[in-house]
Amino acid sequence: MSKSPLFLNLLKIRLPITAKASITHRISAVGVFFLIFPFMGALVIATSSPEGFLFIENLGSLFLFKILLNLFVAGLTYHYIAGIRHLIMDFGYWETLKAGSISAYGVFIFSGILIIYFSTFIW
Amino acid sequence: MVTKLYTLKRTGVFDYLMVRVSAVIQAVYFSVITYYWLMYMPVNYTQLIGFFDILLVKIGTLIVLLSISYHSIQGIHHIVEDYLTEARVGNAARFLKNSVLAFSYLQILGALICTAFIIV
Repeated sequence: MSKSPLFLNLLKIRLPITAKASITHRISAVGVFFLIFPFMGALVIATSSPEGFLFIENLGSLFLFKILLNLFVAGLTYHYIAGIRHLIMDFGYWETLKAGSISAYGVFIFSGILIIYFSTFIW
Repeated sequence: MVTKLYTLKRTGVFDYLMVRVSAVIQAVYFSVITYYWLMYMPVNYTQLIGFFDILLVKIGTLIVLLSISYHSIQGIHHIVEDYLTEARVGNAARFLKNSVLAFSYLQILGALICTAFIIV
């Protein structure tokens, strides 16, 4: 039995843009999932009392909080846009290679613009 | 194949469809939230409380959290079964898989408890 050659250095594999869109969708899913609970907790404290709101407001000026919030918003935005592309493909449109790569570029550009727009509110 | 849906058992088709349905619910909710936030910019405590006092928002938040629970548990199952297999991580696969799943379920439970605190 011959062994097939393994070449799985992720830094050297040139993924097509559709694969990049797909893996970013998955990475953003994991990121958003693990950040939901902390930010839900922050929302609970912020809605519980005026003092709690003030506490979260002060916490919001921290660099770490801002970067996590920005990552959360970015992941959510990307996941939203890429999910809509996924749904359109589920309905049978944009399924050719050309349409797939064009829509993948579109997802990256559109979500990038939205992420930059939302980030201006955080910083 | 699709007739299996009518039995409402946990078939693959049912999961496939429900993941999409819960995704659409979340998309609508987050669109509305973002629109509201961009229009009115709630910056103080009374405005934030006032927003979560609206009955429709309470119901929406609860439904969306249930959607998020279903959607993310399906997603975590997908990812865990793709990457934490015995071929990739060896003997620790079963333990890693179960601990990631347990952590995810705890996370979901915490988010649901948070929702209860917010909407009550």
